[in-house]
Amino acid sequence: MSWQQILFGFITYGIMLYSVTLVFFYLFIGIYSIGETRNYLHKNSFVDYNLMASSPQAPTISIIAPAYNEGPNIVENVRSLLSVYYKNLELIVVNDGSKDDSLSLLIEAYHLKKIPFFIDQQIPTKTVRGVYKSTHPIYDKLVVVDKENGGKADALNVGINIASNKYITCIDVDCILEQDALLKMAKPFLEETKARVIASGGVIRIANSCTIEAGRLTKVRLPEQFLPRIQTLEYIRAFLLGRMAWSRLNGLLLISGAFGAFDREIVIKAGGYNPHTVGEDMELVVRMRIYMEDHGLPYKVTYIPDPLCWTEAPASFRILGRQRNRWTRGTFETLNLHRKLFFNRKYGLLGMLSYPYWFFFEYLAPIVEFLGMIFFVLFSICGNINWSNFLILLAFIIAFGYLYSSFAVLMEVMTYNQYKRKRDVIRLLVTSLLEPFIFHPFIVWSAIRGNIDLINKKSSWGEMNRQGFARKEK
Amino acid sequence: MNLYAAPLHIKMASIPGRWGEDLLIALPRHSAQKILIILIFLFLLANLVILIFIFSFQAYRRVIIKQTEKLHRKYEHIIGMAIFHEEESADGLSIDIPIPVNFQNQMLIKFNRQVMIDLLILAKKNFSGVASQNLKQLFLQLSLQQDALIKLKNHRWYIKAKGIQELSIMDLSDFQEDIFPFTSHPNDLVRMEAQSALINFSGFEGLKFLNNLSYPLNDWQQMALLKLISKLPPESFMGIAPWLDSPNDTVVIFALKLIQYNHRYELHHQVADCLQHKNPLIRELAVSALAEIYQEGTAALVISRFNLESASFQLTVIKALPQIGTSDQVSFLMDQLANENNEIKLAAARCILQLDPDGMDKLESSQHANEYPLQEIILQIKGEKAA
Repeated sequence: MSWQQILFGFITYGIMLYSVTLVFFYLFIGIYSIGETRNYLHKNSFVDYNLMASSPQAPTISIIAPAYNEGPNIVENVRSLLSVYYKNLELIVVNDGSKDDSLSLLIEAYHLKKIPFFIDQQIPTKTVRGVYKSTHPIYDKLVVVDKENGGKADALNVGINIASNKYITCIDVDCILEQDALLKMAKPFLEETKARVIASGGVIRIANSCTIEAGRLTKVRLPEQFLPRIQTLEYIRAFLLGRMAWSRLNGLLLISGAFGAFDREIVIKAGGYNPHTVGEDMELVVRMRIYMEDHGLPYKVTYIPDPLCWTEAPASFRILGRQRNRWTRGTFETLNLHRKLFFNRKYGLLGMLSYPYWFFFEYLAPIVEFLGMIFFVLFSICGNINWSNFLILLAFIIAFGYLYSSFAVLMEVMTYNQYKRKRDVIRLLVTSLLEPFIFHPFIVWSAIRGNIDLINKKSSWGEMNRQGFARKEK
Repeated sequence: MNLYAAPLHIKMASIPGRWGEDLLIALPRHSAQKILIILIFLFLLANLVILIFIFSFQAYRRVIIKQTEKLHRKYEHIIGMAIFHEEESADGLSIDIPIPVNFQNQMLIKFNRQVMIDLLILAKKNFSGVASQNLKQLFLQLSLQQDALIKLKNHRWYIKAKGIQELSIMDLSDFQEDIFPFTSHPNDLVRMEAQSALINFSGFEGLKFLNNLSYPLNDWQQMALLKLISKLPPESFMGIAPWLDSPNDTVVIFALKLIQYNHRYELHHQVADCLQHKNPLIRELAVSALAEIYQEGTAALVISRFNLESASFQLTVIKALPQIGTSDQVSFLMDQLANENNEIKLAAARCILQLDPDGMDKLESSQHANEYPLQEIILQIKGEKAA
């Protein structure tokens, strides 16, 4: 055997093994998530959330919402967050050195006054310029912090330092929360007796084309535009199948930065958000887990399948590309920072399954795929492709992909059934047919660009211009 | 998740003609291709089945919703009649609710009965007095308790729990003995429903399951039980003390909350003993409970444990002092201004201000009053005082 034969053999068999493992992981995730979701729904049918809404024993929660140049919508977004149904609540809006008039708009709308406030700098942050509270008792839950610009992670850390409650909920200020989102999110923290719940997440849904009235989502619609619609399908797969399965295994590494709740004490002990990565949400969860593992403390990271938070998905390839580029960099930075976990038995499931899965099948997948594409083009030019094998394997994997997407849609219909119109379900299924040919190649390319940026040491967040929700103001 | 990551990897697997062929040599080439083709058809078939299922399920759900709405309209009328039914028998009990002749036939269908049960449950939650009694009477008149009892025997936990819930909401205390064993069921939801049912039936006495509870009582369950108990007359709250000695820590925690929220002053001594408990959370909760049932000497008692405990316990003590302390504790609090934990410093400063009319002067003349962090702490509490 020549070295070329050995190399090609290694590539072909290696990649085949990789693909087969990936397919089996998806099968496992799909099947394993069913039990968790079903169990949750049965349990939930007995829950009276009013109990928590009125109980003095309900856990205290501080919502932290960082805002940067959110002027056009900030007043309305804060009003929406203030209307969330929860008793023991504090809302901390952190103005991260906005260049626009966000702060003055807030001061005017909510009758804010600068107050002397001692900040216990348990997590180091950029300088806080002032803390504001409303003079109007109706807004007594609101705290507005003005600080020097330092990025989202730094703004969140300021919020954590200032928060006075036991749990913190970090949220993007432009997200629309369901009215009972906090009641549902807080419950897992109260249910565990054998392990400490350190973080909890809920399903993020896409709000493009939905109707928003007075800061509340009143009508759910499937996005009209192709890109948000395909991301709807992607989110359903990721949240209803992926995260539920990982939650059941207690192997979750990511609670979405758009909406997640954390045990404040553990966040502080773990060191807070890392301002030097663009994947601060995943990095924090990994670090909190490492802290608990290192101290031998039993813990859980939970996830609930309820749609709790609605966000606007990128509707243009340019913005979507930036977002996925950032996600790739964030994943790499987190995995690189915590590489000691890689197949480290000391960290149990975290080291032996969660971390390797993320490395091989979340981070490496687009790279392997891109290289595959290059080799494929090269060898097809050279006439070295066995076309019958190729076509059969391609058909196999596309058929599997469609099956997985259809299964996700089935889970959605049988559980939360957000898209009630038959037409919407058909459109969702038709969209899945186009995914491997239009959406997926673009996502792979964006991830490759993310890796190129990593090599070039580019660390910017990338602007995320929003189109704005279809608001029907009253 | 990179769902479509696999196709191109597999494309690679078929790259060089020879190696693509080699790839499938584990099996004879044609057999491997055949297996893949069979799998493709299986996937497509499964996909088709899922699609059919999705649309059938949607259609089925629409039919169920329509059917339920139709039955609601019919049954709401009967429930309304029951609510406003005013006839009583000679012994003061409700007599049968008059129901349409053909209605009994409808109740032969299981689906219809469940719709009726759900409506009655909903109505029962919203009414009390005679109307509530009448709803119970209608429930019994239609023998719907039999459905609930069948549910208790079902092997699925959520059906069992639903059966318990139905009997509990309908106040069918005759079935208390049937429900009691479920208070130690392995499933937490079944346990919780059974425990709540016992309180519904027997009031405070229903908490007797705590005497031998081996499963933990989580915070959510405790919150639900405390809410139920809050509706009961406080004079019935007897027999809490033994729970403070329970080997089940969650029972001790629950008993402490019970004492705290219901101000059981007579249990001060037993709660004070909990300050020595091996579980730090129980020691901390004992401080919170003592703050609600304090006597002379309570402040000194909790302070005596201060230096032996965690920062969390210490903070609980200082937050309790404005309520239970006097100016005697001010010197202790002044010492805490040098505590390494800033949260404790802030709480101590606030407490000094509340316990001592000259508190602000004392704070401003303290040793580190012009240094960080005390300087900022004093500014903050000055602001709070002014507001």
